[in-house]
Parts: sequence; C-alpha cells; structure tokens
Amino acid sequence: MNVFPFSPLGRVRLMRLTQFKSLSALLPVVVLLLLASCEGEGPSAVNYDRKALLEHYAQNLILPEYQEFGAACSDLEGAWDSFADAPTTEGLDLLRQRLVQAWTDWQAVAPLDFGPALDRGLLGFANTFPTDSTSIYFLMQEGTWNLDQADNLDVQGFPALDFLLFSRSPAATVAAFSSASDAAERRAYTQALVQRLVMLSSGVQTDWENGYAAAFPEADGVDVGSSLGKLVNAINRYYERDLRDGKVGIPLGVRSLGIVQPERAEALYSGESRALAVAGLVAYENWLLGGADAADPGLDDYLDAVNAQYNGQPLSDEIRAALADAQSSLRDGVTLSLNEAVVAETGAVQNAYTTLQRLLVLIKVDLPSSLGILITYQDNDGD
Amino acid sequence: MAIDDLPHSVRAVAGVGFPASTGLPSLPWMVRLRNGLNARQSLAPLASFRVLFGLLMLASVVRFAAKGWIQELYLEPTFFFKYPGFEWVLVPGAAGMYALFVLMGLGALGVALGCFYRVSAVVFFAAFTYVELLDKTNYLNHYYFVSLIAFLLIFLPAHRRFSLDAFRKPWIRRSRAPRWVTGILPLQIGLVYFFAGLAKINADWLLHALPLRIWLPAQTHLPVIGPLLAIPATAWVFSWVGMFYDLTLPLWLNLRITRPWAYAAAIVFHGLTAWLFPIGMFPWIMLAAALIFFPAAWHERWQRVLGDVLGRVLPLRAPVLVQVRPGLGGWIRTRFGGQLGQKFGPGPAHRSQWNTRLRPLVFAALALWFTAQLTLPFRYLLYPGSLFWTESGYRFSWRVMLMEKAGYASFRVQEAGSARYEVVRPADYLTPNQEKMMATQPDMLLQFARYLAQVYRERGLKDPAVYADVWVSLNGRGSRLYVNPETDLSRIDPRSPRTEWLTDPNITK
Repeated sequence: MNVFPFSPLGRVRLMRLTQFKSLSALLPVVVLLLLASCEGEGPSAVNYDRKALLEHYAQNLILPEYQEFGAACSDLEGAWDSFADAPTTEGLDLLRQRLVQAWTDWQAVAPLDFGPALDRGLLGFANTFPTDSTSIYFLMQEGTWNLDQADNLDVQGFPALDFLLFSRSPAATVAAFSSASDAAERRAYTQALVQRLVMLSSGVQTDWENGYAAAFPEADGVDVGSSLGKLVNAINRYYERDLRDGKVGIPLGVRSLGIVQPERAEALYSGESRALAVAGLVAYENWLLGGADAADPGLDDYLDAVNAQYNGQPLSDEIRAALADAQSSLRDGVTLSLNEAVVAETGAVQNAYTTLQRLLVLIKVDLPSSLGILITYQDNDGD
Repeated sequence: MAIDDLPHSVRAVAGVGFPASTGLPSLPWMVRLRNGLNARQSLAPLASFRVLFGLLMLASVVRFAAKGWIQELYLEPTFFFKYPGFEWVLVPGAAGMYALFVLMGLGALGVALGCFYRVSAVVFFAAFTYVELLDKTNYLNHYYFVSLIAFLLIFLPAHRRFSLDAFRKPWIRRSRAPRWVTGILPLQIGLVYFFAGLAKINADWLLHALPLRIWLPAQTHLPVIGPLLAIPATAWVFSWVGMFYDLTLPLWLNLRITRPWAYAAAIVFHGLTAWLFPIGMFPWIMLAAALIFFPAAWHERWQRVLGDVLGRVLPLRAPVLVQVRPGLGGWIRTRFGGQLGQKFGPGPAHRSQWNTRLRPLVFAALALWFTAQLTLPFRYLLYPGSLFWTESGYRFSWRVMLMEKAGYASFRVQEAGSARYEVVRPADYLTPNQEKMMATQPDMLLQFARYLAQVYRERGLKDPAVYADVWVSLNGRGSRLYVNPETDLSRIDPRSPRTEWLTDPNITK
C-alpha cells in the first residue's frame, strides 16, 4: 500500500501508479526540451586545460624566476666575499648593485608563498621590514644569533642588508667594515645574513627543481589543496598584505589614522622602494597573465575560456587594464622613493593606493569567483 | 464502536488519542483524518534512523575534531559573530570546548545505541546547538537540519525498539506508535527537500544555470565525469534535475513503485555533490535520513538480522524482573496526573500512561513547530530588496548551493570631526574563514563595524565612525560596490531594512 508516512490522511487514494510511471518517464523529456530551448544562449564547451596552465606556470615562470633569484643571491654572495676580503668603495658599489638586483629579483618570487617557500618561511626571513637596527647592533656585539627564530625576522634578509650597506655614505660604510672597532663583528654578521639568503633561496629553488615543479600540475583541481587554489590564494594574500599595504599603504598612513609613516617603507636606506614595488607589480604579469607575451597561457586566458565578464566586458581585459594602471600609477605617478613620496607627493601615493585597490577587488573577488576557486586559506565545509 | 466512544484511558493504552473534537461536529473527513493520524505504524524506521543518525553524528564529531576545526573555528578567533538573542553563548575556554565535543560525541553514541536515550538526545542536541550558536560564520543548512532533528528526537520514542534501553528496560518496549508520531521525521525531512527545491526556482538557477555554470567547469579534472562537466548543457541539466529532484524526492520515496529508483537517484545525486563540492557529511546524512521512507518490513528485517548477530556475539541476557524506577519522564507524568508503570515480570508489561491532559499541549507544540517550519522559508517576502543581495531571511530556509557569492571588505575608521581615517584590514581581527563569510553577509558586516567602533573607542578615539568598502560579486555578475561607502555602519540599527545601506538592492530583480 502506498501511503505517505507523514500524510495526515491515512489512506489517501493516490494517483494510479501508471500515471506516476508516465510522469516520471516524462521528466527527462521535459528536461531535455527545456535544455534544447536553452542551448542557444550557452557558451561553447569549457574545457580549459588547467594542467597545461599549471605546467606553464611551473616550468616557464616559477622555475626560471627562482633560478634567477637564486643566481642573483649567489652573485650577491660573490660580491660580498670580494668586499669582505678587501673592503673598497668599488667593491661596495658592486655589492650594493648586487643587493638591489637580488632584491628586485626577489619581488618576482615573493608572492609564491606556498609549498617550498612557505615551508622554509622564505617570505618572512627574506623581506621583513622595517628592519630593527637596534637589535642588529645588539646581536652584532653579542656575536651570537639565531636567525631561525621567528622573532628575529626583522634583523635579517634584504632590509637588514639594506641598513648595513646603505645607511652610511660609501666611505663611511667601507670604514665600518674595515677599520671600525666592530668591523669584524659587522663582517661576521653581514656574512651570516648573505649566506642565509643564499641558503634559503637555493633551498626553495632546489625544492622546486627536485619534484615540486613536476608535482605542481598534478593537483589540477580548484579546492583548497589544489595548485591553482594555492597559487591564487598566495598571490592575492601577498598582493593585499605585502604589496598594497606593506609597500604603499602602511607608509602612507592607512593604518595610523592617516599619519604618514615614511620610516616603515621598504628599502629605506637605498631608497629603492618605488622601484621594488614596481618590480613586484610587473611580476603580477606573470601570475595573472602568464607572462609578458600575450600568447602565453595565463589566468587571463582561463578567464576568457569560462567567459568571465565584468560589466559586460571580458574580465581579463579589466584585469589587464587595472594591472597596467596600477603599474603606471607607481612608475609614472610617483617620482620619489616611497618614504619620501608619502611626505612630498602624498596625493600621488594616495592615488596609487586607490589604483592598487581596484586590481585587488578584481583578483580577490572576480577572479576566484569566476573560476570556482575556493577563496580561503582554511579548509571547511560549505553547503 | 467509534474510537471517540472509548474512555480516555482505554484510548491512551491503545496508543491512540488524537484529541476528540469536542463541541465540533465530526465530519467524515475529520474522522478519516483522525483515524489516519492515529493508525499505528511500526517504530522500526524511526529506530533505524536513530541508529544511523547517531553514528553519523559521532563520525561528524570525530571528523570535526580530527580536522582541527575545534581549534580553528572556535579557539583561534578573538571575535565571534553572535546570533541576535544569543550573545550569551560564549566559548567555554579550550578545555571547555573539547569537553563540549566529548559530550556531543557521547550524546551521539547514546542516541545511536539507544542507551540512556532521552538524556543522550538532550545532551547531543544541547551541545551541538550551543556550538552552532557560537558563530554565524559557521552556519550551514545541514547543521541547522541536525539541530532540528536532534531536538525532535528528544521527544520521539526512537529508543523503544532496537535499543539498549529497550533491552535493559523491557517495559519501555513498543513496536508501534501512532502515525502522528512516526510521521514527524518524514515530514520534517520531506520539507527540507521540498523547500530546497522551491528555493531553486529562481531566474539565476533555472534560466542561467548559475552558479552551477561556474562551479561545474571548475571540476573538469575529475575522472569519468570531468569531460561531461565541461559541456555547458550539463549545468542546465543539473540545475533542472536538481530542482525537480529536491522538490519531489519525498513523493517518489513514498511510493512503493518509485522508491528504489528514487533512492538510487538520491545515491547518485548526493554522491555527485559529495564528489564535486566540499560539503562534508551532508550527503551521507541525507542518504541515511531518506531511508526513513522505506517500508517498516524492510527496517524490521535488517534489525532482526543485526539483532541476531549482536545477540550471538555479545553475552547479553535480558533482565527478567525489574522494578520500574520513576525517572524524569515518570515524574513529569505523575505531575500531570498520569501514573507510572507498575512492575515488569512475566506477562505483559504495564505501561506508564500519558495523561490525556498533556496531549493538547503536545499537539499544539507540533502544530507550532510545523507552522514555523512552513513559514520561516517565506519570511524573506517581508523584506525589501533582492534576497540574494540583502540575505534578509536567507538562513534557516534550506537555500543550499544557490549562490556563488564572493566579496572583499575593508573598513575605514574615522574620528568624529576629523578628516583623518584609518583603514582596517579585517584579517587583523578575523580568521580567513570569518573574513570571507563576513564580506558577503550584511548582518555580519554590521556586527564587525560595531565591534570596530568599540575597539577604537577603547583606544581613545572619540565617536569613531566606521565606513566599509565592500565589493561583492554574485553569480558571476562581476564585483560591485556592496555597501554605501558614506554610511556609518556602527550607527545602523541591525533591524532596519538593509536596502537603506546596501547599494544595488534589487540586483536580481
């Protein structure tokens, strides 16, 4: 007997079963008919090869960038060794160039804070600023230090080297490393910092070369643990926290009631903050567009493949435009280093911040949402 | 003799007792209705449900703890998005939180085994619901479903067969109960499906196959069905089939002839969703729940088989003579003029009796419950603006998987009478999960804005105003400004219409 267990009418005389059979047989037909009517407006099959995309990112973008960064760190070490042996202003000049070069190359890989880089804590160890010069002096005098400690992030990496190599005039710097009473301690400490950068960069590079790059395209889903999920979340987090806020927003005073904090800018002593920020933004051509060449497969092509729209235009166009604007707002709109610019060209930096914000919304909201990528760093159930 | 002519006590013993319509004429349909509701049905499906539900809940508790979510969702956050009226629900410290989950697990186990059943059901319901009330961030329709079911189970005689309680206290054994009792869970479960289907009848879902058109092509890497998901038509098929499935599944499960097919469809449907989307235990809970629609004979068969096996494996001896002890239920019963069961011995059990005076209360409560269940999903009609945009009346309405909604929020805190402001990154106060959920949910944005005002007031800012820059993309429409950036959110009454401070409130209309 067929009754609803919950039916208030104990024995409802339901439709005859044959009727139900025909109804349930009709269902697929109805669905198909509806489908046929919808067919016209649908886009063509979305069969974007995520694996190939990830392979391109791993082999043609990430690996070369890490290799370049690793080489730049080795060059830095080479220049350091020569300088440490015989401190001269020429040697310092080369050393400074190499530092800026390595720091610039770092900007390209900094957003990749997942996998090997995350495991080794590269982002924190390489570029935590502002650097703590007082603690650096203290550690130098002590003669012992543990740079692995998380509370020693701000006494090492590029900002610490920036302080050690750029905070005085060339002559004074050479003197500090050669004839000053604490020259030996200074040399030892700087040596440790340089070697640590080389160790970290080569470690991450080796991890990518020996397996991670090969495995990267395999996790080709869009969930939290997928490679695309990791990449997109990492570049978004870096863009928001380190690029927009760390390099521009915080010196501009967005965290301090509008009171500018030039002392919190990157590369305070070498004055390279604007160039480094621009380098960081240029690197986003890699991560968002798959490289400078329009033919390179990138997230923009993936967005086109799923027909992602923004105000009736392709979302990829909007992202390209916003990225170009962000770059030019810093490169052309601001002329001084950021620590000077926040004081002297506040309006221009403010404008750059706003322009950076526009790209942030596109890559943090529209991009993952269009691709179905889970935007969280936490694993959790949804419904 | 008509049932109404029997004395109350006889009807009570017979287990019938839908109240006689005193004073009203007994129309034929009313008599049929009453008889139908009082017809005695096997308790086997309910007992099976109890076992499966308890086991799944136990597994859920273990899974939740194993994934580190107790820490991540309840111990790491420093701010919690409370439900209005439940601000008093606090995290009882790390030890307390773990203890709560242990209790929850024990409650679930007790429910599954039917051991100290009422206490277990109360403990499970209370612990589970308390945890859910801690933070809106973690609201899931299936958690709400679990809370509802757990609450109903407290009162249902799910332990009166195939349970340890029925084994050690033979006088509580029953094999049947009136349909108005056994039908409660099927009705509740049926409503969940029905409303989930009803919610899918909207333009985005049916005419644009959204959000499935976004979600499915993201899964093309999956074996076997991957290529199928790449075809745009698949999203439409899934949308329409999903809508019909939810809307009508309870019906097909009710009919003997369609039941196997309906259940097979349920396996495919829930299996697919489990595979494609990160929805945790939900598919398995619904698959277990749907079994309640299976015929009693089916449940009795496997309970008998399982009982035989257990009887052979476990050294269990049924108690022969036991004194009935007045428990809490007995106490309540005697307060309402009922009487306790006397003694159990050889021969038929003497049953405790519910006094008929209590029955109208029970029926009133049931009527209230299902009225609420039927109206809550429609309460959105009382609010202006697009439901998907304002989310007024969105929760507790079985709206599952309807939106791809993503957002980004940052806040500006400004001192009164000053042009200076500070930009607040919510990540400094919230977990990534909280930040993500808040960015698209207006009530949470308000709560956080109020919290920020308080934080800055404590920091010495005079009359801080809190503005939000929020961008939200709904079902692939592209990011749009969500909140009016000129509105001081810390001064918005949460009960005022959200259309007053959200931009684009009619986005889907």
